[in-house]
Amino acid sequence: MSGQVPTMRRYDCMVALAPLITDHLIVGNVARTSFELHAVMPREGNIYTMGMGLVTPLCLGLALAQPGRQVIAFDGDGSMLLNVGVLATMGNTPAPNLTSIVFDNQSYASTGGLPTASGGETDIAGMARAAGIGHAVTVWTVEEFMVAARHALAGNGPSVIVAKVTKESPDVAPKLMDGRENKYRFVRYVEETSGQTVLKPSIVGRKGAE
Amino acid sequence: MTPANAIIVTDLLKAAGFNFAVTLPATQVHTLQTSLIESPDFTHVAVSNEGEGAAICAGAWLGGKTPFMVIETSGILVATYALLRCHATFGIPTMILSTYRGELGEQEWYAVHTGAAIPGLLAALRIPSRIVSEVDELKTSLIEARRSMDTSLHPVSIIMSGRITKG
Repeated sequence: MSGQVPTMRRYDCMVALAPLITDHLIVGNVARTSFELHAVMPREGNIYTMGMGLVTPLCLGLALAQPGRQVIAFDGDGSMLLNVGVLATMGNTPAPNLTSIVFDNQSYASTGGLPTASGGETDIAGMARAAGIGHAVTVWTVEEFMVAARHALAGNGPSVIVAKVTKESPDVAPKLMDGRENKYRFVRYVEETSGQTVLKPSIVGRKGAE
Repeated sequence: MTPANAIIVTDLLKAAGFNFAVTLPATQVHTLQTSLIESPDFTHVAVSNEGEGAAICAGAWLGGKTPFMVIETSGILVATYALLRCHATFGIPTMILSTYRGELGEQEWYAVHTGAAIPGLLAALRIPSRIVSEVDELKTSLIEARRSMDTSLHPVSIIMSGRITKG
């Protein structure tokens, strides 16, 4: 354990990152990470409230399917540790357009605040580097965060940025949208910005239908 | 699965419109997995956990791919959380192409109870599933699985009997 106490807020990282976001695809972890994502940058290219352990793997699939644009996971320490094997998959899968930002408040903050392993001896960025991920760093200030983010979003991924943040979360409202509406809006955004067809609800009348 | 059947199944998957493969090595389908890895027609990801694999498939579908996983029977158990919390919750399809360890005639004691639970588990997950016993039946089943993915926006399952996967 480093003994260093985080002073940076997750929300401030998002505010700093927002001006860089254009046609990026972003997936937010469950609970307040997604509330803050929606408050700072409400956009059709976001998926909110993905389940613990699923955020970064889902982004890896997205990044491989959409190699021409950047994909960002707004993950958390508890979520990453739940499915930490994804680091090994990232380390062995070419996905230069994938950035996993692990907002590490060193606790299960939304469920009572008990510590995660990263609040003890576990170094998530070190695990990522050992898994074969070339760009994996821990940052403690917004300035360090932005240096790492700019490098990652220049196509130097897969990247893991472990942002050491406080447990504090501003009083922002949750979005009023369930996962299905979110999915449809996200997919329509992908279709409109990529020219691809994702939703194909009916075979009848489709050209070339079998 | 014999190498010849592995090539046939690879071609059937391509013909049915699938183009994104996730695999975790399994005894009876490693030849198929090797064929998929070597094929230029599929984006392939090798995973270390089927739940992670299911979530990768979900992301691939959101990005415009038609994904599937080739996994062993017990991998469905591992993927259950992702299939509910991600696919069912958001309405995201994926095709699960699995072996059927524990079916009638199973020769290994450790596989019996997993296999016995799988049909009921898939039913509880409301995942349409078909047990296919002959390679010739796979062509239609794979096309129908892909069609159900498009129309239901929910996972589908094809379980390959040992008649297909052994050898």
